[in-house]
Amino acid sequence: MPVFRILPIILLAFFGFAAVIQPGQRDDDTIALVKANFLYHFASSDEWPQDARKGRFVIGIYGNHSLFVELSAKYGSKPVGSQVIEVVELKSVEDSRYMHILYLDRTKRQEMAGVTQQLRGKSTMLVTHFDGALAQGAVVNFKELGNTIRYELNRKAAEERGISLGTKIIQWAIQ
Amino acid sequence: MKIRHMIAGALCLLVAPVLWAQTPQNDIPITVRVIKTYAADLDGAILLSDSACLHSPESTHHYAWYARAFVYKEKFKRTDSLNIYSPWRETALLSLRRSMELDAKGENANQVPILLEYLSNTYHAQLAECLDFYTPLRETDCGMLWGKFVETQQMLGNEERLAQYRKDYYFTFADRHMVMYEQNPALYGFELEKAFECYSEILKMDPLDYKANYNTAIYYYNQGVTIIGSFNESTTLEELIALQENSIALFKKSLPFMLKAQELRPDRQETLKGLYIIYRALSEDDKSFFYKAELEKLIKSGGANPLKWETNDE
Repeated sequence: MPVFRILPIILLAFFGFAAVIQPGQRDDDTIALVKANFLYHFASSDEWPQDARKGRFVIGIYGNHSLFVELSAKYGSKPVGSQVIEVVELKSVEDSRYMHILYLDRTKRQEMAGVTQQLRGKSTMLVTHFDGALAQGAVVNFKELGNTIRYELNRKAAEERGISLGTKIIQWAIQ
Repeated sequence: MKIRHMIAGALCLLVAPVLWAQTPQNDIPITVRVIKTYAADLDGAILLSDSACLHSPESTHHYAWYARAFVYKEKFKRTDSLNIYSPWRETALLSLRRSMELDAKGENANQVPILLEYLSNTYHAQLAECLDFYTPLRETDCGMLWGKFVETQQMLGNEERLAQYRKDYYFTFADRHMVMYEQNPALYGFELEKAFECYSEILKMDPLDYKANYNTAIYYYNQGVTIIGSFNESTTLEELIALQENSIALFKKSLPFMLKAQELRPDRQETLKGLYIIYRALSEDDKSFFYKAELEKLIKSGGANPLKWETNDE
């Protein structure tokens, strides 16, 4: 057979430039994002006594910096009725400033008794995230349900504080 | 021009005795003329070759088709080598395939692979260039070139080599999709999906590939985060609860891939961080704290840096 001469093509390693991009894992605290949205719903769907419907709508966060960050970033300065949300991060609950909502993180659960004492007679909605919190005076307690975050209510505690829970808030609570 | 013709003619004269001795010239006279004339008159040789293969008894001879493949390859090489859709190369490949089909005894088994390898390499080189300057508009081109490269490698019987090529190709393609996506996530959101498809292909070939497992985990996890990150003041309670469940489903899909990645590379920080974050998103705090503690231990002991990515041959 005749021989055709073929110049070989010399190639370097196959796709030598391969794969340097690594997709980064998003670092957002998703639980904080979910809780922040729930807190916004509590703020916008419930009703506080008349004397609390003036000035800023204050939400205090105690023991959860991520939640403070997410809540401030997404809902800080948003209107709730005629009020504007202000989010504050608490170093302690001895702060005498009035808050419409106070979130007490599970990492601060040992301070629950002191907090409820502090809030006695105030129309502050105490929101928590640990078992048994409702029995200790919390109005709303976050709870895991099949890996999702939901909440349970203490309607009596809400009434005692003069907070009228919205229909939707009651409807979506864990019974 | 005259000098080139003279040289080509001289070469033909030199080669002619060899051809005469080795080629079954009585069976394929037109093809012999093709061989004798292609160096000096390529277009004429192509016409002759077409006539041999398409309109003469030589059409059943494997060497007639091999010669046709060769002259078409020459035409591609000399005039059209930058055209990824070159009809000359396509005809060369088709002719070569026909030649292989007709050469049941393997009489030309030494020559065919050389020509085939050449064609394969041209597809490869163009594919590498296509991927290197990838844009979504070139996706079809890359896919076509990859398909042709695979076809030629299969004709060469390089199945084993092809498996590694295939993995490299999908890694590279995934990388290109990610580059596009990161340039403009809003415009090229679909590129993320395509990158994920590439990783899925890699996992089909090699379920134990560390990087494909890790990136698949990240893909699912980030999608879940995107859903939750979209919550705002107009999100209703119903949506909040329903979308949260969608996110959780994605976090759960992410988990086995991240666990597998961690099993494959327990020395890497990013998988421990990944597991810590995924379990946190699933509200499984005990496991989340466990992996966070493991990550801290690894950092103290100087484990692999999550920011320093390694090549895909690990």
